[in-house]
Amino acid sequence: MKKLRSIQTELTLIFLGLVGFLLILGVIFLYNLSIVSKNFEDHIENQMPTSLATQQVLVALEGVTGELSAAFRAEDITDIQIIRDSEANFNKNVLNFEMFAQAVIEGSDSENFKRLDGGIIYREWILHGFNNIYKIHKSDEANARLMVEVDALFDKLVAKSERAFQLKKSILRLHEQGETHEEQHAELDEVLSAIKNIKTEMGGKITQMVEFNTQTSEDQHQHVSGIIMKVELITYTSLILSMIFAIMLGYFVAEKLLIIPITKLQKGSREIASGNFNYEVSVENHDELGTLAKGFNQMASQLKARDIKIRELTSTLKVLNKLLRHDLLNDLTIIQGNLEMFQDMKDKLQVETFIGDSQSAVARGMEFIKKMRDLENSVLAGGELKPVDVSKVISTVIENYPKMKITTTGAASVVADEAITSVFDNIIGNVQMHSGSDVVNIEVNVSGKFVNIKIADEGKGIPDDVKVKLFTEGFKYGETGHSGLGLYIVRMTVERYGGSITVTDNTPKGAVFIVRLPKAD
Amino acid sequence: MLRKIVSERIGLLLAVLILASVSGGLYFYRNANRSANENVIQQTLDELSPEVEKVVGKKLSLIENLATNDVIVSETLSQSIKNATLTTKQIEKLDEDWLTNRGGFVDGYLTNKVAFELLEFQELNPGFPEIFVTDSKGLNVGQTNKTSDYYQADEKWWIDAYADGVGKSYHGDIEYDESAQSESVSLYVPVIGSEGKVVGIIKAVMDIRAIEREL
Repeated sequence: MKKLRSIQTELTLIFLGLVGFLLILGVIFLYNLSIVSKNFEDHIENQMPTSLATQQVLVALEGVTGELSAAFRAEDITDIQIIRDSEANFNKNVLNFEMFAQAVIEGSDSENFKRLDGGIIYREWILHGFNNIYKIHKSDEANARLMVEVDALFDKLVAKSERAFQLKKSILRLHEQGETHEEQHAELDEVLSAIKNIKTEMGGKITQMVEFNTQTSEDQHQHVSGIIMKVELITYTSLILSMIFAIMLGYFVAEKLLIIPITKLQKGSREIASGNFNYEVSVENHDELGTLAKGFNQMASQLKARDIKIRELTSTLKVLNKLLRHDLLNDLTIIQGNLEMFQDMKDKLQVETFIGDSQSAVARGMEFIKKMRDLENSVLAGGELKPVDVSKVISTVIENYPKMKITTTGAASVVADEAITSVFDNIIGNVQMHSGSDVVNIEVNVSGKFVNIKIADEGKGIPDDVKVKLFTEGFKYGETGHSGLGLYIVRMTVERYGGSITVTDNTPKGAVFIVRLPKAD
Repeated sequence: MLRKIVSERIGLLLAVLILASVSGGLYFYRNANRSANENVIQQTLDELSPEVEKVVGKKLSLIENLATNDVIVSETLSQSIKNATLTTKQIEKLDEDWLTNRGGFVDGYLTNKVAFELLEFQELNPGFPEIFVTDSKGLNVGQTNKTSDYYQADEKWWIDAYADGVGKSYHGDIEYDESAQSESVSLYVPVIGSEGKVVGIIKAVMDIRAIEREL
């Protein structure tokens, strides 16, 4: 049996599909976003710290040259403490320069950087808290090479500057001691001139570095802008595609799952309302609406069966009415005529004859009413069929015919109801009335899924032209023919059970009624 | 049906527990890592590397050599003898005069023979922003810069270097020095007189640039 897929499951699957689609779009979006973020991260983690470090290098260099200018700007500085203060500041700036320059060259988290100058540089780095502010990655080759060149020039500058401080302090001491210091002056001039040249050379290199960093930043900016534009394009396209996809999916799903089946059901209900019970709703959905359509078709089929039943009942009622009007009226007319003549007749013999005729007419009328009841039972009995022991039913019926010599062989259960009693009663009654024989042999045999009940007499038999009409409505045969309903009722009842009834000649004489009924499991 | 609901709830609970455990584990792992990093940083700040120790040792030898300078030894010895009988009250009075530089009291110590010897040493050995010498009483003998106090014997470094007259050369940790205005290492060396007795102490403040220059 195919598993029922409910609309809920289908809608859930569709939503899951939609979510999956959106997830794919989300993944594409996130992938592109990650590229942007990676570039941005690269910019934040590499480019920006390198630029900031380069900036710090420049600030430190500015500090170094500033202190040199302060210490050697004038000949009249005689206070050695001023020189010492300048030298202290000079040293601080030298350390700052070294820290940032080496961070750019080696990377601030590298082992080389940590081990540099016996850890002195890294210790200063931590003390200043730069380890929490800057994460400078090892610079690319071009930038690092430029920084190495600047650092080498800076080393020369520092060496010359230290010598300058040394000479200046020496001059001041000799001056204090009243000794000559011409030689130191001359050397100091040479050193300061060399410092000036180194500064010029460094300026060129630093300009190159700044230009290099500017270019790198611009390249990075352009690269990131390009990716952002791409992400925007993908995002907007994805959004539009999602909307189109959602609208189309919603439209077609609603059409397939709901609109089409509901429209078919609507049409079906209109057809049924107009009396077309043959109309079948064709819904291929394997969901609740499909089940509803099947139920709808079953309902139409049941309505059709009931309609047929109603038509049959109507037809039967018409027959009953006709018979009532005709046969009962005839008998009552006889009784009425006899009663009128009875009032005028004094002859005893004639009176007895009229009374006998009237009694016969009353008996026929009563018989007719009994048949009407049987017919009503047969037509209206629409209850559930059940297994019935056919031999027991026959035994009960036989008790109504004490003058008949009836034998029964075999036993079986058939699918029937209480009306089956009238079947055998009518047949045996007919045999008694029309065959001219009081011998009846009943044989019950099982044949496959059916049970055959043969009721044979040894009477005068039934002509072939009569046999074909025997079970039709109102057919009367012979002088003793009554209402013509008995065998008609038998046929209708047997057919209601899903069986049949036939009549053939008996050997050597008489007739055989064969009732074929479905066997009970 | 009930079993299905119970099983789904157990699954959900397990998923939440697993998520919570992973998050908690990650949190503790990160905390442990952070703590380990902080320990490494603190170790870097507290300990001197062997290379630095070697340079400091070399510089300490330089100061020990300076402590044998004739001028410094003789001047320190004579001041130690001169100040040997000073009372605590007298020392306190001198310390007050130092603070106010009464009568150019401080200037005399910046321009005396010892001061010039120290200045000359400073010129020849860059990286010592401050050097001064005390006598065996802890009173200044000569210096390159003005110190905040005249009396040093109440300082722990002096007591340790004097070592009850035995004398001990040693160095301090890297720390910020106000007078040097930079991260520095202080070197303490006793001045030994001709009789082998400690007659004074030299304190030399060494800028870390001086160490870096040697590495």
